[in-house]
Amino acid sequence: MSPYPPSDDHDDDSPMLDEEETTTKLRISFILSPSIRSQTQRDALTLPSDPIAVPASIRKKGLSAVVNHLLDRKVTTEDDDDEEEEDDDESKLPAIPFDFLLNDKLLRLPLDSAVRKEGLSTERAIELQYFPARVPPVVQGESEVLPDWITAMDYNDVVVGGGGSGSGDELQGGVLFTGGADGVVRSFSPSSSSSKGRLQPTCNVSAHTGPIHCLTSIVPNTNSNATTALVATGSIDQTLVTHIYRRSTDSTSSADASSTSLELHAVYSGGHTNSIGSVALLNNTNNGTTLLASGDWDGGLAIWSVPPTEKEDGVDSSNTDALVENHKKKRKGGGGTSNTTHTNPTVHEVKPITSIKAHSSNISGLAFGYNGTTTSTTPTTLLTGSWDHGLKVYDIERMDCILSLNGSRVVTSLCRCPNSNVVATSSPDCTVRLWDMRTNGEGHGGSGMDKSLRQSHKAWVSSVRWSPTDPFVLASTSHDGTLKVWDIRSFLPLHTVKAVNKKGDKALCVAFGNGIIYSGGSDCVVKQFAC
Amino acid sequence: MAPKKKNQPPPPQQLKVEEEEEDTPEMEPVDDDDDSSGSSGSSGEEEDDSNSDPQVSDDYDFNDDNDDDDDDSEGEDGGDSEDEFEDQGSSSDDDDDGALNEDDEDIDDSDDDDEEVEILDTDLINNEDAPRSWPKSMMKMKRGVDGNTKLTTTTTATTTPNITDGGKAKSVNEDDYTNDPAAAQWMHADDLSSDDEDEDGTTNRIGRIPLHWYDEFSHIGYDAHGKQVIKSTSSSNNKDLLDQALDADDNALDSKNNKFTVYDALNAKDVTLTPRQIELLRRLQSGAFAHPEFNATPDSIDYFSGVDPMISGLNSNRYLPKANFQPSKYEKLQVRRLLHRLKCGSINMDFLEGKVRDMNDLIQRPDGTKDGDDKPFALWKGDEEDELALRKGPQHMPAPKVPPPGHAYSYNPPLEYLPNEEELAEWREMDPSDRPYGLFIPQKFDNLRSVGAYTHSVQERFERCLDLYLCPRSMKRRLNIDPESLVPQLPKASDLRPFPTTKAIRYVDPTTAEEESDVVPVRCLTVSPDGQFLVSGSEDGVVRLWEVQTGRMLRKWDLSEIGSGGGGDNEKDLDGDDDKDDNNKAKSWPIASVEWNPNRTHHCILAAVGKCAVIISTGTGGMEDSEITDALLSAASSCKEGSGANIAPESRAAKAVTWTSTVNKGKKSTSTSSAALPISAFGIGKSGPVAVLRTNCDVASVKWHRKGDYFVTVSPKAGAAAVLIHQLSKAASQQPFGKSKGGEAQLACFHPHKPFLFVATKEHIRVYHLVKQMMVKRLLSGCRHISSLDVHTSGDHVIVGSLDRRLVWFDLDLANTPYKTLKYHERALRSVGYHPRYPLMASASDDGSIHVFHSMVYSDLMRNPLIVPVKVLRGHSVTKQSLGALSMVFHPTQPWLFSAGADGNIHLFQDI
Repeated sequence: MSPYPPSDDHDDDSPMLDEEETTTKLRISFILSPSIRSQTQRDALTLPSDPIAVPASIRKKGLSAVVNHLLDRKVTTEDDDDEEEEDDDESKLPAIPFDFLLNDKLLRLPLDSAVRKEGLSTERAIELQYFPARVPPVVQGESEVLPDWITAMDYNDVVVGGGGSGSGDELQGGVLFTGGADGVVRSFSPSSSSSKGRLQPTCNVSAHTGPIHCLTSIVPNTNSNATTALVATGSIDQTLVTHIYRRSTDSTSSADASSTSLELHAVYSGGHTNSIGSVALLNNTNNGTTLLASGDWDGGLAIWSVPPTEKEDGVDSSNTDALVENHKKKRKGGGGTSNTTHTNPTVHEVKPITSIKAHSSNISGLAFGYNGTTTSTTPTTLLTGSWDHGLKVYDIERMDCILSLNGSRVVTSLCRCPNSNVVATSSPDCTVRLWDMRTNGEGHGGSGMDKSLRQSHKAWVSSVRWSPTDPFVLASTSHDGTLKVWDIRSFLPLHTVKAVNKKGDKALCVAFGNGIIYSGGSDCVVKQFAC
Repeated sequence: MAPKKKNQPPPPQQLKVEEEEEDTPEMEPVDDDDDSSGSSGSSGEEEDDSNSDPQVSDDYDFNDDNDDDDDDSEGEDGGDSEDEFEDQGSSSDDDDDGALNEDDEDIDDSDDDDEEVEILDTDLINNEDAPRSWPKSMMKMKRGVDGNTKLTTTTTATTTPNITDGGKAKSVNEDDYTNDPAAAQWMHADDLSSDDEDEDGTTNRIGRIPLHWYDEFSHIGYDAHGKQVIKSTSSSNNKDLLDQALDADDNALDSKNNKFTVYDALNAKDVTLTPRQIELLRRLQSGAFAHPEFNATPDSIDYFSGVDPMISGLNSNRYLPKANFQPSKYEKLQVRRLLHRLKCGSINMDFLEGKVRDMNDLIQRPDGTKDGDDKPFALWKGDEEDELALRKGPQHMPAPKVPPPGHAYSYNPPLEYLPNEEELAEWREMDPSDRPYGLFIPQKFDNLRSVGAYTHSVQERFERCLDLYLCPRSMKRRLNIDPESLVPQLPKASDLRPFPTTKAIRYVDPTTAEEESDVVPVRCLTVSPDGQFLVSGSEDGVVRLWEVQTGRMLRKWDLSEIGSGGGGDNEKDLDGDDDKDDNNKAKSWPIASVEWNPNRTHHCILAAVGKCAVIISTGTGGMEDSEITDALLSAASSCKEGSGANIAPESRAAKAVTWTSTVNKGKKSTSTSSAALPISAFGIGKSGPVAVLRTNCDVASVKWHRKGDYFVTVSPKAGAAAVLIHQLSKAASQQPFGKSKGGEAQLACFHPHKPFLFVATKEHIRVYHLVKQMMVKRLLSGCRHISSLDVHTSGDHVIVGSLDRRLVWFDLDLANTPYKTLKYHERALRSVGYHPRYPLMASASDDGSIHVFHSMVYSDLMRNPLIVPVKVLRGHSVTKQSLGALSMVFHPTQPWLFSAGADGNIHLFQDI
């Protein structure tokens, strides 16, 4: 309230004065977030750090407009600022939505209340870090309706993807592998602008007789040209197999789906007596081998050594035939595997290196993690999440439990942050939880923090994946059919998009690539989002 | 004895004698008796110390200073007489230096010695002229003195009358001495024995031996330095006759001059006697009293006439002591002591006033426990008084209180309380009872003193009394109970998490989801022991297998064919069913019950459809498990059509049940179904119906034994063959009961770990021991129609749901009657169940709701189970047939709940 009664002699000035007096101002200084690394981008976005005064109740959008204005870009705010409309000329660059960090938390409230909540002093200029906001996921393409639900998927961007359907494209990185409820493993190459938003399976192979529970892929480190990938799938029918994805480099010109192939590589038997709940693959850089970890519904955890992916002469055909026969015999009635065995006669049968009972119930999430003490590049621990509400850290070499965390909810999916031991888990109670799995944390006595994000989902959260590039961003899918993108610096999701076409269908799996998110669910359609 | 001794004041005359000792130094050498002089001397010194102040009565002045010191030690003597108190004064004077009782003893001893010394002195006097060699009688006596003081005292007692003249009392003597100071002076000058040792040091130390032992020697004994004491040459023995003659002349001359010389043989010297000594010797020789001063014939005093108490010897203290006229120092002392003790708190006024006899009682009684014990009771109190006190009249009811006067009753009320003219006029017209202040009219006075008497006081008092008298009053006894306290203390539901709260997954059959026209109610549910799969049995005879995690339907088996086939075989049984089967024959065979094998390695389920119980292999096991399951099912699957399998043909079970293998048909059907459906078959084990047990009547319930080999089927209408127990591994059946008892069996259930079988009829539950083959218990539910039954995993608790809306909890250890009967539902209960791990219990009802209870069973037998309603789950709509939730089952490992309803929905409720 103005202390002075409105006077009559200043007709045109008094509203201005009133406005200036009534709206409290906060002084802020913009700092470009150090997370933006590229120098050209920094040059383009850097602002002078001189404090400026803004209205206290300004929000993210207003601040974004201010920054755009300072950067001399177009300000496309739908507010009633007509003067900005005037200087809207072609020379200016388009506006960029910015996001702001206050005290390492995303600004979601009005600035003054956020400052109050953080307990910052308004005497000095408030430092706001800004960076271009993550754009909402946009549907880039979707596949045709597949025969059955898509229950598991993984995206591997190291693999040089096949040309796919787009003939004129240059080689595009990344392959998406999906596992269906019909037990079929399919590979997709990312959709491009030329493919008219249509995702085509480049190849498929029937791997299991039951729904695939889990799927993961890796580029074996023995392979230098990154044209092959290893795909491990575990199914409800208690089988665990790996396939080799190959892209024949000679036939890039001919836009042919047959240029890629999925071959049965190895069958892993003897480790599990129940449905496979989760798998994880690891390239062991020390000895050049690849490790496969798998967990089953009984809580059994097995570690396997993946046989080399290169075709070896040491395996004679008779032996492999016998193996195949043996494999077929054991999987009675598994007719779907016939074509696979035809194409690739060298099928290994692998016995587990170690097999222990790690949990009392379904191991639903597995990830290789770094040991907190050693900063080696090779992960040395195995993180497990289970339906018995617990998370455990196992040392791979010794296979003993280093850390055991007890939660209160079932873990349905587990994913480790690409550059730290922070783990995100999803739970049936609509929650995504974050765990600090550092085992050397004497500070909190070995009990990891359970910092849960907001219960934004409306149903069972089925899957969670970190962004491979941004350590703050993760994506989750839920049975409510939505895909949510989160920034862990905020308790609210960044974006929510529909992942299924029909209401009532469930989104069951998610894969996160560099700027791409895939999701699949019970609508039998793979969707690709640009992010 | 000690105080008595001390009673006697020390003889003052002795002091005087000591004073005179200075005047008569020549007397010293006379006292040659070493021993007696030594003892008397020591005693005399002590007496000197104790009686340094001759004024005995002035001792009090000193005592005043010592009062406080003596308080504690002399507290016991508080009640003594004044004489004793005086003694104490003297004794405390003795104890000035803090002397202990031992010192007192010494003093006593010295007192004894005193008397002895006196006696000895008299002896000495008597034997003054005796030769130096001791007479034998005296020797004996001396030894006695040395050896035993008591002996001495006795001898003293005997000798005293001899010595003191004519049996006179000693006190009389003392009186005489005091009366005649000159006599006393002389007497005691004689009596005095010097306590000085020989000053020159030449005194013979011969000891008490006869001197004639030294006759042959030139010396007599030894002196203190061990030197021989040479016999004096001047002695008469050694002198020649001439000298003796000269001496005799001298003596004669001396005697004229009253000189008399005696030879002291011991010390070998001549002693010249004084005239006084000579006088004494003369008196002794003449047989008179030794002392010339002694008055042997005093004037007679009339002691015993009793005429004049002042003269009478009986009243020796004729002159009242000064203390009699002074304020009592003893009382002063006592008061001071009591004040001190009052201050200290060791006594209090109750004790002083005699209310408490012992201060210990008072100290023990801070809580008043011993109050009643010490209360004196009136020994002679009349009985009539007791009756008055105990008379039971009507209870006293206090009169209602008159309201306190307000401002208007003041003599100087505020203006607003003073009525103006109109009000006064109005009041006058009114009845006094209607006026605001009754008869009283507020008035203003200048001061209180000008207020007159209240004119209506008598009237008002009378009216109040009349009111109190006429209006009956009665005590209102209020039930002073907080209604909140009647509500049982139940913990908050939020503290009892986890329990299912929210709908999470709906299980929808993709093939039938589109057909919304007619929903097929789902009748029963069961979950695999590891919680991975869910099986539902619906009204149309289809058993579906779901994956819990994703809600995907994995398998389905249509059993209506088996049900109808079973029905068609027996024409006579079909009659009853025909009516309802008319409209739709295919859907007329509902799955009444379905149950997953509780053994984790046995992957098979049991379904009741129509008259049949069907064993279905689920095919969800791995290779090892499927082999185990195959082995288990081998006997059943190899049964020939229509044969009684392994049942003995003559047994009564043979008539009731037939085992039929459906493997051939089942294989065909599953292969076709899997081809038709997009849902892929998986697993290595065979899936689909394996065997059919055909009974005579509709099977209502099937239940597995916990080991997964035996199971029980109940067909309520079958009479004696209603309850049948089957063994799957042998494909055998048995009929445990020969005849049906207590109505139709509705449900049956095995005990979790004991060989018990629970059989529920419509109203009761019977517990049978299967090994002993006898009924153990009969539980009276109080319900009309039991619809569902579940046994707690501990085996000690049973819950029963009934169609008359009741949920009944039985504690088997407690009683045959219900521990609790809960009536929460609005319609009939269809299903009840315990959670196998969490303390949860739920009931599904036809009102479409499922009530979840926290049901904690304690291992402590003294604690009753805790039942708290925690959540009402509403997920099912009530159909036109007024059917709601038909079945519920808990997830085996999670706090989740599956429910199936008549609206065809299957829901998973989970905790959020």
